Amino acid sequence: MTAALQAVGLGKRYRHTWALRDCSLAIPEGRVAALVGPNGAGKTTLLQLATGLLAPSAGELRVFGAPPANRAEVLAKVGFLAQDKPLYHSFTVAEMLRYGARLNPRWDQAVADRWLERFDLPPDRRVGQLSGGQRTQLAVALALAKRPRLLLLDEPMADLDPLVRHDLTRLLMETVAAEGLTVVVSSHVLAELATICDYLVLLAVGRVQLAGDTEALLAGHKLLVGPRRDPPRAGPHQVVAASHTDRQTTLLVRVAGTVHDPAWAVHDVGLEQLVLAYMRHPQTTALPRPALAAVPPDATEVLR
Amino acid sequence: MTWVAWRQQRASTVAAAILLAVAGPILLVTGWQMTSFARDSGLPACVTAGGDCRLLAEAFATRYRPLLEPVSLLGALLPVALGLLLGGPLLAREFEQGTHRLAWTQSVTRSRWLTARLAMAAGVLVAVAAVAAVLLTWWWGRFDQLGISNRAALERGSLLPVATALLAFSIATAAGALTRRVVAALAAGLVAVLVMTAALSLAAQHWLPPRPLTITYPAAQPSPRAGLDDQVLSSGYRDRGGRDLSARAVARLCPGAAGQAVDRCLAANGIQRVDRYQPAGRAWQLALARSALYLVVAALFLVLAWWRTLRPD
Amino acid sequence: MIEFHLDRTSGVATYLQLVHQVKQALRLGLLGPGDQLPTAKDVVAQLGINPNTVLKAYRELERDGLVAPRPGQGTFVQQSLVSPSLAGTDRLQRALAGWVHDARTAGLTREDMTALFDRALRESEEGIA
Repeated sequence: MTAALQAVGLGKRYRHTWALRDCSLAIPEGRVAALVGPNGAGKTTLLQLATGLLAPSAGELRVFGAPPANRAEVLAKVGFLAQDKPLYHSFTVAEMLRYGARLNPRWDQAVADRWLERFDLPPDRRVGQLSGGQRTQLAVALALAKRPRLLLLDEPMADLDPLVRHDLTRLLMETVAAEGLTVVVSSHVLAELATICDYLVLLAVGRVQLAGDTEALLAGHKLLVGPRRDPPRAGPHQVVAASHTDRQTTLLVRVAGTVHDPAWAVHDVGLEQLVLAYMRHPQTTALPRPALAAVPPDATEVLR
Repeated sequence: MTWVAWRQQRASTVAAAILLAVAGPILLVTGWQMTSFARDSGLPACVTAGGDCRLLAEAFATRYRPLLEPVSLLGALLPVALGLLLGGPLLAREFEQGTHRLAWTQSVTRSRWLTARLAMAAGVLVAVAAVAAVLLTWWWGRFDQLGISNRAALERGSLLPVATALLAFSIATAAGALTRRVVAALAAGLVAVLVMTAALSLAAQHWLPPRPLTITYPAAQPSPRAGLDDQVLSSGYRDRGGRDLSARAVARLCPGAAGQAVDRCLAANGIQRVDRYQPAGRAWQLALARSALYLVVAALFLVLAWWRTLRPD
Repeated sequence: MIEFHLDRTSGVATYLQLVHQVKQALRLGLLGPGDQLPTAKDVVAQLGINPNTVLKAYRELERDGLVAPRPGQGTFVQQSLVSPSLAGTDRLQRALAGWVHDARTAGLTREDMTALFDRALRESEEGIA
């Protein structure tokens, strides 16, 4: 199976700073991938590299096996929504959709119409007069009606109120269910992505810190609670995060096999907990093996 | 893409039309007014008769110079303004609003997108500039046979305003691609256009074919080409031996105010005048040559804009 | 047709919640053999979760032999979980209601009651009680 989005050693430099450095990941097709990380981690840069808006300074990026070239058939496969939800403010809603129809041969007007109806977007209203939430809905409609195979959304939920957010998520997931679309959504708030993503990429200061199936990631990490042990050690298992009281130590570890030490009580880890732990320790990584030839199996591979 | 290009062009087309709608009546009214006055005063009749029309010309100049200069300036700037208006925001606005991230993630390539946008804008520009050219040609044409010195007369060919507009357009477009801000593109574009047109007209005058002609005649006498509406580019002095003389040297040789005494002195010393000029009949040729030069330079700026836009960041 | 609900704060994986709810419905007789489970699209339209999650839950139920997919039609219940002994559960349910009432009167919170019940269950499983 071709990876929908694959990067090997990808890097992007602006003047003297590297926004992305040595990034390797492979997002399989049909996934809903969450791209998380603090502001400035490089999420927008990664997404824009995948669309061809930016060119890499180092390494390689492939979308469905081919680099994001400036060719019509390649452009047609990827839908993108930039963080500022760019639209032409003097266009009416109807004109904006007509714009999409004229520029995309795979345009599906039915999708656009359904979206308009569901969100009650008045076709004659100028984009500039719509609310922020309505503009986001329109922008997502544009990206989806294009019928891409890969949809990239850069912090789409940032300015939305909870109701709009929920509606948007539902409609998006319906499209995924109906068409097997691959989605990569970036956010700096994981909570809103936790129920929809089945793949996770965590970026920290321009590097991939964590990447893999959410299931595999969660299966591969455990919370160990036991008597105080400082410095923290857990046998063959790598310690990601540790906290101590005067009597107790809690470790978040990446497990290598079963935990045999009877001193530890073993608990499952939640996704948000996991991501936070890694974010607090930017030096720890769990990278997939960089290889363009083979897509890694549905599990995180640990470079140990 | 055609509909898209037109729809995005709509606003600046309207702005250009408004500009014409404002400038047009100004040109029409002032042109008509000035030539009416001149005709009523008998100036054209005098010039045709070949008499001494200096008094009448003076009267006209006193009355209308305050109007003539600003309106000619307006006329000269009109094509520039049209070009800036249509070219400045073209790319700059896309970048400034971030809509390039929308436009270049649809299913059209950047080159196709840019070609369509540029073609539509240039098409509209040629249309409005042509209207402006007709207006300007008419306006300058009013001063035919009035014996009023008008340097622009020889350069007015109806192609030149269009070429000027296209030059301004391409400079503004390139400025937009480089600065990525509308105000900066317009400001930088304006400065660059003015500098460029000045430099190019200078270059055209001195180096572009058809090359200027030279005529030599005794300094004491009027030019044999007087009254022929030549565009005199430079006028110098030569002595009997053929060596060039500066005006100061001549003044030292034959001091005093112009008059019969000075004329006798000049004749006695064998001082000659040397005029470099373009005859009036060449007006269209000169305009054509200049326009061609402008278009070549415009093409270069468009290439610059193209290169900067097509290259991903 | 049953309707799913999602407790996003419980910490329990989404697909497991779906599995539990199907099993619960089967036990309570709300779903019986031949009944159709909501399609992935319907669940997604209602809850806004990843369709793969629904598919995963249904696959697990299929693995347990409880449901089976019919190509082109949907997923249908194969087996009932209503055990015959549940027929006599009215008595047990009344006893349980009584116990809950007594526990509340004694001032126990929901967590206290749950903890007691869990312990009793565990002890019974471990053969202590």
